[in-house]
Parts: sequence; structure tokens; C-alpha cells
Amino acid sequence: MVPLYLDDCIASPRVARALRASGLSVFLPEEVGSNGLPDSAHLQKATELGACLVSKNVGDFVDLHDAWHDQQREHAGMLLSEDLSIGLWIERLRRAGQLLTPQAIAGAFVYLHAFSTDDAAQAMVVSLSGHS
Amino acid sequence: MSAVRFKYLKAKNGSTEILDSGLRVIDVLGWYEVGEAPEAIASDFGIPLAAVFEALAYAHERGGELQMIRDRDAVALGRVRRQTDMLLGGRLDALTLGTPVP
Repeated sequence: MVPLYLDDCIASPRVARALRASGLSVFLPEEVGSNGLPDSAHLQKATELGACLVSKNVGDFVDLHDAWHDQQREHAGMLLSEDLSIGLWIERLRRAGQLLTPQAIAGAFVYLHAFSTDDAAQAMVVSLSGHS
Repeated sequence: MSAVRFKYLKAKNGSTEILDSGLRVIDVLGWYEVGEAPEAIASDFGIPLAAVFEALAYAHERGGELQMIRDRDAVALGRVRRQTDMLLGGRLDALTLGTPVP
């Protein structure tokens, strides 16, 4: 399992409750004192917590990924998506959180859609584990 | 005609956000477009219902500004998708066939 850090744009207590009920470790910005901070602070906080950052603010976080890569810094992973219903966020994040390991996702960004089926999720984990 | 004034919105971190929440106007619009009721958005994110309606009004008034953000996100998401597909050996579509893609 990998801890998840929900960026402000997806920091819904409803999502967090559902994921925690599945046994996942979930961080909300408001609970760790980072709500409303710039994206770079969210990525820093998620990294300090060893948590994979979850966001639909794709443009900004891909830029940050590149900036960190250029600085030879490694974040704890990113799961990125377009807008989804609450139900789909929960379903896909539950699968991702349960199957991924911190080692597999570290430093990588992944399209959350890859966790929309069990088969895709398993293949994703195998691939990421091979690259980590 | 006077310009529309917004009580709950503020330019911050390069985009327009709801005060003290970190939630961007485009985030509110996204939740609304996938079917979340304004009341549910307000409750979920701990913001006033009026702020949700204000964000939606802003989105209506400044469609061009929001479209620019969406265009940029779409380009970035394309890269994320390609990278993910590559990791799956080009099987992303096949492995996720039939699942909802907004």
C-alpha cells in the first residue's frame, strides 16, 4: 500500500473517509497544515510524508515534476487525472493505494485511468516495480 | 455597466481561487460538470454555498481564461497518458476498455 496525499482540488473528506475505510493512509492538506499553499509546497509536504500526491491540476504538477527532475530531487509519486465523479476517484484511488508500493511509484507520475480496472492496475504495478 | 465584483474569489498562485481554500474556480467548475450539486461541493470542501455559485458565475464570465487552463492541462495530461501507456506496453486502452473516460 502507498499513502495518498490529496491536493486541495481533490481534498474531499468524503473521498478521504471512503479510502480510509478501506485501510488506506490518506493525508488532507487541512489536516497537515498545507491547505491553500502553492503547488510546490503541496509536493514538498507530500514528499516529507512519503505520500503519493493526487491531483487533477495536471499542468502545474507535470511542470513541478520536471523542475524536481532537473534539480535531481525525487518526489514520492504522483497520480494525475482529469475531472472524475467522486465515485470514480474513490474506486480508482482505492485500487491504486492498495496495489502500489512507495518504492514503485517514487519519482514517477501516472495517469489514474490506469487504475480503472483490476487488470490494468496489476499490469501497471508490475511495470512500475520493474522500473523502480 | 459596472464590472462584476466577486466577494469570495482571489487571484492566487497563478489562478483564481476561493479564499482560504486552495480550491480553484476551475476545480469547482469541474466538480459541477461531473454532476456534483453546488450544495455538495460547498459541504465537501468546507466553503460557503455562495462561494460555489460565485465561482460558477466567474467561470461563466471568464470562459476564455478557464479554457486556457484546460488547454494546458490537456497537453500535460496527454503526456501523462502517453507515459503511462508506454509503461503498459501500449495496452492502456485495451486494459481499460469500457471504463468511463470523461
